[in-house]
Amino acid sequence: MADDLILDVQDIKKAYDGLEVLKGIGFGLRKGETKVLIGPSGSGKSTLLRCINYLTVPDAGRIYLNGDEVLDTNIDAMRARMGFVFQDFNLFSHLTVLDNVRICQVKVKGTDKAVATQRAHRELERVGLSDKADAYPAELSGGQQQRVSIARALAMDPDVLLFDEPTSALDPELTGEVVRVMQQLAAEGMTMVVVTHEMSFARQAADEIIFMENGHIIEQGPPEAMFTESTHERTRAFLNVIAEHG
Amino acid sequence: MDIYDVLLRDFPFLLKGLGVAIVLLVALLMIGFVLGLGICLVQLYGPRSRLVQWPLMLYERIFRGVPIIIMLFIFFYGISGVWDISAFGAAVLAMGLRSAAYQSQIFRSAFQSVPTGQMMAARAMGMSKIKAIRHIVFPQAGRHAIGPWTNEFSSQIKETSLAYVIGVVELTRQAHYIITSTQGNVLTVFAVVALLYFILNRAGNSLLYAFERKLAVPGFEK
Amino acid sequence: MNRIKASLLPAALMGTIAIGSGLATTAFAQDPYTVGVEASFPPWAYVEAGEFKGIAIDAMEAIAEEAGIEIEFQDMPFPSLIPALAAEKIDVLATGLTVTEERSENIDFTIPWWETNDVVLVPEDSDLNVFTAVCCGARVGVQGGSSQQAWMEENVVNSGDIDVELAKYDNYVTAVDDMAIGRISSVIVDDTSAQEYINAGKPVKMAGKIFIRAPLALAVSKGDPQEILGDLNQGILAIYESGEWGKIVEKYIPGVTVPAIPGHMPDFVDTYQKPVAGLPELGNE
Repeated sequence: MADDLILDVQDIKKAYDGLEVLKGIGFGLRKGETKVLIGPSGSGKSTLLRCINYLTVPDAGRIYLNGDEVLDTNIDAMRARMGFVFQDFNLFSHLTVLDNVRICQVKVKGTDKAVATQRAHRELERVGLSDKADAYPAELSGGQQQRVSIARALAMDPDVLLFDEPTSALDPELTGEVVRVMQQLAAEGMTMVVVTHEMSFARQAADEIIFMENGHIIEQGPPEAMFTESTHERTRAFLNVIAEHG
Repeated sequence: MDIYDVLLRDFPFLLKGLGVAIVLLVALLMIGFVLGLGICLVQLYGPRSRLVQWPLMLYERIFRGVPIIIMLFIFFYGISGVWDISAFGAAVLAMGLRSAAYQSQIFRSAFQSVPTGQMMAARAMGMSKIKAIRHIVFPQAGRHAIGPWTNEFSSQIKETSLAYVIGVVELTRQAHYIITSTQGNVLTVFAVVALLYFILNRAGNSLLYAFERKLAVPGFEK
Repeated sequence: MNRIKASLLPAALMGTIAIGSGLATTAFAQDPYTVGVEASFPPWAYVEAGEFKGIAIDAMEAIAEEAGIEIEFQDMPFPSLIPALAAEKIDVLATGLTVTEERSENIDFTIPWWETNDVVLVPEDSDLNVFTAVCCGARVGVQGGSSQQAWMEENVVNSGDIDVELAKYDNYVTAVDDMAIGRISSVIVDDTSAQEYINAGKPVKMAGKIFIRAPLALAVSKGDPQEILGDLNQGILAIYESGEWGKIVEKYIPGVTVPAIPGHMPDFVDTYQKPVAGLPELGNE
């Protein structure tokens, strides 16, 4: 394990009913890096992402966050240090936007409510939603909800942010606002792992792209190399399909 | 003395009976709430072991399946061998335990109506299961539960009138007194009693609906 | 009830906890006997303006005074009273309770203090007679768990060749009202109550009498665990002999002939074997 890795994922395996979804996957992430996981449906990208914070418990493998191993016993504390952004937002629907961004600071980290409120307002401003603090999730568009959920994750001051297809549930005209926020975060030096089909984001914001298929990492490298000079048949085929449909 | 004079003279006793019914109602609903919520939480989030789940299921089946009048007799006469329980105590216990069985169902379906993503998001943010239930799932389930709970409230009001079979002198029994001491007037007396039950029911429902409105959040329709 | 446990407790602990037995003895002295009544059964027991009234109530108070015991009344629906007595939730049952063999197996009776015969009540304008009112497709109302129900089942319904249906009611007032609106054809009730309904102006009349000479009595739990049967028997006889009983009855059923006490004591009741508790000179040989 390298000391300067924020996130170190080693040899993760996961099977469902004997079907191997992850066949021993590892990668590392330095501070400020953005890595984008791409690959066809069923390739195991989302499962891998969920294994990192134990939303799906891996069958084998180790995960280190800033040198601390993620275990069953410390999982709540470790999760508090890893922001997770869901495909379908999962904002707490009975709470206002402000409370959504505030509640976990107070209830998980024990932050003083006034401090948490300040922080919440700052993160809402960061995602461009200061004016929606008193709205309820159901009153927001999908794109706005996803930005709130990013603010909610940011407010916990995480070591790393995990994005699970953050734009897949959005209408095409709403993906832009979310992608822009993510690009801005990447540019500000946030450490992020992103599962996405948004190739424009991958191309512009990723430090490295990891192409997965059938539970294996087929290829990884900087975006330019992957998009233009991939040596792998599978990668090229996938990128072509995405280019046609995306 | 005609029946209206008697009703006027005995109205305080009807009110006293209504008071007994209300105390019984509140007590049984409270027992039902605490126990029902506990049962629901263990059923949904507790150990999956049969040792835990089967007794709960059995409890629920029995109390939902046996007529309340039989439960009243069992609790009043059955328990008295072990512990000298008053008629009122037996009624509170029998009806409270039964309400718990029903309320556990109300809460269970309310909790199940909260999307799994809510729990997942709360856990992903680092909340423990208990914190997630308390701060995220329960407030949402609670809102879903108010409607069905209002039904339970209404049906339990009516059930309190059965407590007279073991000697709890509640509203219906007070009405019997007037009917028998005046040798009749069943319709007149029961009309007044029905009105009192109706008022209690409406008042309770209005309170619960007001509570529901107070907690109303966009996206949470009835 | 409490008293039993209170008296057993010191025996069980026998001197181990002096204070405990002291407290228990205090409870023994202060705890009044619970007298169960069906308070919707005039003229025996009912509630008027929040107070218990009726022959059984007044007589029970007079007997308690005679015997120097404290009592309190507990109202229960009729079908609950005997189970409550059997379970010792109440100590004495004081209502218009008919002495039957079946009941005497579960509870102990005092000496009879009244005798009733049953009456077939029909609507005022009915031309049914005492026989047609309980046959030929008639629906007959009785109070659930009453001696009238038992009598009808034994002698009429179960005889098999009489086409009659029994309708069981919570109380007789409802039965009589149901008859007035035509739901049932007749009501079988004791003669005392029947007279009450007619006096009260109900649109009913007596189609005829069924002479069963049923004794009415008080009752205590089987085996008389409180040992009060003797007190009650002596009390009944005492208020009868002092004339107080006659006054009480006259107050509630003016003009009625008061049956002599002790009346007919059926052989099947074991507490009527000689010597009767408290009255050793009485009883069946």
